[in-house]
Amino acid sequence: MNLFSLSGLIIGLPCFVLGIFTLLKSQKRLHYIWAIFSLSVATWGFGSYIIGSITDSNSVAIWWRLAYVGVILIPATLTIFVFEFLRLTQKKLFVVLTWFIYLVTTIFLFLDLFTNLFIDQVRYIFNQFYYLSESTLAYNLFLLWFFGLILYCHIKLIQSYKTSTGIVKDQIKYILFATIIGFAGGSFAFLPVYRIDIYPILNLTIAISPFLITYAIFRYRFMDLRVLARHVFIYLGSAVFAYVIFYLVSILETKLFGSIYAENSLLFGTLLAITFIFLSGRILELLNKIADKYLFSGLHNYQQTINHLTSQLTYHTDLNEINELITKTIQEIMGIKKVDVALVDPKTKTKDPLLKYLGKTQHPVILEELYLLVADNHLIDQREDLQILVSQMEKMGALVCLPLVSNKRLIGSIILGSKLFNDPFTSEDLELLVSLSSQAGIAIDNAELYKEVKDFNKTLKQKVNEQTMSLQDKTKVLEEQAEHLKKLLAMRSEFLDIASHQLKTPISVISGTISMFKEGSVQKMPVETQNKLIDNIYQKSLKISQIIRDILQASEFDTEKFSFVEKKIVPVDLNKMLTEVITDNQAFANEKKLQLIFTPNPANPQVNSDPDYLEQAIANLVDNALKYTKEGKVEVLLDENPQSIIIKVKDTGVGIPKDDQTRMFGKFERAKNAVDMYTDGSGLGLFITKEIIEAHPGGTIVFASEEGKGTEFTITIPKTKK
Amino acid sequence: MAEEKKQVLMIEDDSDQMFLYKSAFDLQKIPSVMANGGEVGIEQAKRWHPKVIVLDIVMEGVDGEEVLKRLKADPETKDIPVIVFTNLDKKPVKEKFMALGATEFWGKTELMPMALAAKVQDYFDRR
Repeated sequence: MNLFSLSGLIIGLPCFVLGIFTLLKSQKRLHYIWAIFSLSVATWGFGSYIIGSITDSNSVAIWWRLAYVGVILIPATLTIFVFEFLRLTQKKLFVVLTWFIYLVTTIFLFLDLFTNLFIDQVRYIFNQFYYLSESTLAYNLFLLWFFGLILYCHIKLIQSYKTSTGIVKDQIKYILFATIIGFAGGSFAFLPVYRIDIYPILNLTIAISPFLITYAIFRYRFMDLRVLARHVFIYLGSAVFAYVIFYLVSILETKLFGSIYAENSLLFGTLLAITFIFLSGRILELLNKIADKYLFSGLHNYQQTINHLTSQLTYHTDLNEINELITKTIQEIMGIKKVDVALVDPKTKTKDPLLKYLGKTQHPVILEELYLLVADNHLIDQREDLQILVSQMEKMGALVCLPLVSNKRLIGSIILGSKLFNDPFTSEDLELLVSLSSQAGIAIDNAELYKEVKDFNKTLKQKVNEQTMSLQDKTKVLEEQAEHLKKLLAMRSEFLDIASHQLKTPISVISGTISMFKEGSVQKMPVETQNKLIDNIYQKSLKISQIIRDILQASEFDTEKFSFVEKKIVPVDLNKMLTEVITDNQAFANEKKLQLIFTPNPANPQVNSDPDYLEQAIANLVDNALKYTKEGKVEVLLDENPQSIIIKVKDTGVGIPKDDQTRMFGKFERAKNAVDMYTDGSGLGLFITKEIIEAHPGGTIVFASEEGKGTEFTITIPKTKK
Repeated sequence: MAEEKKQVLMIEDDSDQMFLYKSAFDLQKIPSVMANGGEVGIEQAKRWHPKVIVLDIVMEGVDGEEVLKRLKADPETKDIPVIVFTNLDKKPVKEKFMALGATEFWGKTELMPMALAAKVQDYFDRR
């Protein structure tokens, strides 16, 4: 096989596979055209392979004619492809041009296959093969047509290249690169026809262009040659490895067992095959590592990245941390300058068109793809909406928007700007990003749920605290009020004592003096003494007015908080009041593990009283009973007879020692003197109770007690008409 | 022990009252000593060893309670009868003072000056 023949094979086989593959893989018109182009190149490839290998000058002419079917189709399909690719077919001019190209091509095909006007003579060159020897008129015209179309295509591509941006620009760049190499090299194959005998080995370069362009078409979105090169390295590396192993084993087996078909060889081979299976995985991994580490350090191992990020994400429940992790990971592995995470409030329907679109499609939105969609005639009705998305993304500087989805619900978007050096996004990038965004979506959703739960807990805790606080506050307020009431009662009592003393003092002088006059004893006294006594009466009466004025003034000071004058006497429902007292003290009883019992009286006794004071009086008794009872119960009983109501507070407590019983109500006993005795606050509860009960006309309180057995207080209040 | 004189000691810090009761005692021809306040009262009691003491409760400085306690604690004065004569005439106060060793407890509004003098005379008349 000569080099020309070999170059033919190298062109023919891959282009044929490529053509068939393209046909099977896609249904797009652009791809069909491309498949025909590839098959045209393959036709020339196979043709030149056969031409290079045939030694018979007669049959070679037929193969030249057949091979030239490919050559004739090449410029036509390329031009139509360019029209389609650049979306020029919408214009009538290009539709006409397309038909013109079909026509001319058909003519050339006819001339080639059925006449001698196109291909006539062949000559033997380089002592290797028969080549076309004469340029016919038709052939010359064809050549003009060929280069004319090629030139036209390139002009069109270059024009578009200048005006387009992004991915399209890259695609055009690749197409131009491919066609220039292909046609520049391929053109050498025309030279021997004009007797310029340069060996057409550059024919080989034709093979390059279909590959480049195919890659550009299919990976048009995500074209990255480094990724391709990496794949080639890995697959080629593993192929070399397999091949080397095969040879080594063959040699080894031949040396050891004489032949690779020997029985032992087969056995040994089986063992080796198993070892090889295990090794191959490792080798592939090793190659991957080598590729990543030494050759394509900028590229990434997607699975590893995802796994790493996923495991990282599960450790984070903080939304900000997750966002940062996602942003950082994407930035690092893809070299993207700007990465943002935008979250959607799931409760409010977003009005943002981009997020709406993302929510609807739940697929990544790629700016380049949007450009294509906008340009697509089939989507003319959506053009306006798409245009909005385009301008929105352009404004944000976003090239790709990934949806963050959890439970089929859009929760946000990852917005990606351009890569460093404006590298395009590859399909691998997108695959990675999609996996990553789905992981991120779940993680973010979890984090939000976690935050919600946390917030809820916080709110709950706060609410509980607030409630507890308000309860505590209320209790405190009640305690304060009770304390205040006690103080007021004490003050009132002290006030009355003092007032009574202060009033009695002048009265005693007045009445005493008058009594002496009455008895006639004063008249026996000297006149000065009599006058002095009369003056005393006068002075003391003035004193009384003064004291009364003081008392009124003092009571005026206290009217806001306390006034026994304004005490409101109303009929009190005792069942209700006692139930309230029991309820209020229940917690204390529970705390001491004591039974606190009150059975309402079905007769529903009522008494005229100031409910606040009466309740306070009974509460003091219950409180005392609970305080001085270690075990057992405290019972409140309500009874009545025709004259009075009777309330009993009975406990099973320590009881009151006989000696102390006499001074149970005696706060005075503890008093040091008449002035400061009232400041002694201890044991005030019973005193207050007594004072309150005794404040009712005919009201009494008595008790019976036995040390160690308990105490029973009995309140009796006569029923009076109010 | 100093000789017991047939006289009354009144411990009181209100001059108008002192004047009133002094007049009453004078009319009854009862020798009386007026002590202005608790401290002076104890002093006078020790000095004069009166037949009976009339004691007020509410006084500036040493009050009636303190005076009674000190009189009862002092062997020199512990046997002198004390009539507590006060406007703080509440039952509990009375009980307290009786417990402290007062012989009698009277409210100033219930016992008129001449009646007080008569009571004091009773003490003189008793052996």
